[in-house]
Amino acid sequence: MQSLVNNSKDYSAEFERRFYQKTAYQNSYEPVFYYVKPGDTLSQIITSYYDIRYGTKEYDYALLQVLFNNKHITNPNSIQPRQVISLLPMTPRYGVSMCLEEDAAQQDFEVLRSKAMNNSSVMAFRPNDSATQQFLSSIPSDPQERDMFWTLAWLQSNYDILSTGAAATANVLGGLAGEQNSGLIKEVDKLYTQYQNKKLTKSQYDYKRRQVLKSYSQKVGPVFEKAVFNGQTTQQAIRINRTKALPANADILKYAGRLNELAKLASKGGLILTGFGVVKGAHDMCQAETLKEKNEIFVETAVGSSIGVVSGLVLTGVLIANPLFWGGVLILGTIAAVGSYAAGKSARKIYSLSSDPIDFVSLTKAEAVCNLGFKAKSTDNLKSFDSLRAL
Amino acid sequence: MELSQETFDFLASCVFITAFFGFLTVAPLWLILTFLTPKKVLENYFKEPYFQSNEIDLMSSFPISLLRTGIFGWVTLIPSLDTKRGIRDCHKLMPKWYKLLIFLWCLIGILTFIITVPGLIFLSNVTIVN
Repeated sequence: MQSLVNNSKDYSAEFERRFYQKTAYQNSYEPVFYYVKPGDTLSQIITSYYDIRYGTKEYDYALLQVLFNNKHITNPNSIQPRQVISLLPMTPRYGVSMCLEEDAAQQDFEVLRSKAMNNSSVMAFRPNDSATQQFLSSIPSDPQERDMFWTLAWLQSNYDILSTGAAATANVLGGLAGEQNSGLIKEVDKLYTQYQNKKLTKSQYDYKRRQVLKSYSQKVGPVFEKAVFNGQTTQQAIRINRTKALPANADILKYAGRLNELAKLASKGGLILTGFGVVKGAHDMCQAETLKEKNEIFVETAVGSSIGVVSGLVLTGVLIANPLFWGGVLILGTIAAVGSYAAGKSARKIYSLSSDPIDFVSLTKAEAVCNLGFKAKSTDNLKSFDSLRAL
Repeated sequence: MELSQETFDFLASCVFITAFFGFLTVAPLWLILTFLTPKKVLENYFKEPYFQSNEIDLMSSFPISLLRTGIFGWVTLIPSLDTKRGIRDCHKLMPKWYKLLIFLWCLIGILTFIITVPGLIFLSNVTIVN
């Protein structure tokens, strides 16, 4: 688990390094998009990332160019946190790379993006498109939540076979740590307040506390209970604090807060993982170089999803005679995930062996999804390209 | 096993089309059946002692509620599968259209599973001869 967190931190650091990387006087066209943090000003960003002084001719060039390439910045004196600013490489002769026409700027961006896409470890964004803004706005601002986000993103990126199981777990954790269960921990705090106000006697308080915590333990199960309470049982962890340095209900509030945080992160994590999988499939298909490759990705995704769904349907039969517990959902999710992954890969291999395969992408107009955020390479052009390759 | 290219192409197309059709029907039907589960069924059978309290918590919210639909679906289709929960009479509280959708959903799901899974395994292990 520790290595997972470390790896995800490396991934986060690597991603952010690329994101905030300095580009001054670079020869290569590497897309760099700056994600505005609270307290940033445009002049700080420009002077820092182009390594130039404020008020110089170079600065004026750079400012003009940054404003030209970032039409969403309407007032340079007021940039907002979470905005994305594209920073083009600077050349010694022209200052920042100049694109004087709209088409040229678009063309330039396409060059940057296609170069970035050839390197699978680089994520390229169109700063103005809604999908990018939507993605970036989903990155939590809280440092702890960001860690969780990058852990999940790393998992998805490196072990997508496992991420469906992880998504199932995250959803279950969200349910277990949710208000309906963590409310019971808060109930203990209420009981303690009543006891302090002499509305309950010591024995009444002890009895009610035991009942509530017993109910909590039964609901979440022993594994989740020990994971949340650092190896202790609920009865052991949710106690009155006897040290004078902390309030008497400090432990209760600490664990109630932790559960709420876990519920929030887990539900966000489940959605992020699910969303990442869907977007990744669509993105890969849209960016494929040939129609055959698009079809292979389409077949892999569609058959994989199909097997995942029907496996899930078949597996629910197991639950009729067996009670569901959170580990059970994880096992079901993982079996369905492994099944759908293997099926997707097999389907792609089989499709590639067909001599006259059906053009599913054109038939189903699947490229329509590309209009949601990623510009696709035209199918007609690809058909011509494929026929030329065949010659 | 050896197959001609034509036979391989034909079988592969059948498997892919079945998988696509299965996905396009089973997934939406599953969602529809989950969101339209009759209130009477939930009020009478989605409670203790038929379900444990932690199961009720888990299956009350989406997407885990899909599993609840799966349980009711299977029991409606094959009541004899229910040996422990005691919900085999839940179909009596379901309207006909809901039972019909459950029947279609399970039938298509099972057929898709039976055709695609062995189909993919078989086609992955054949040798194509010209």
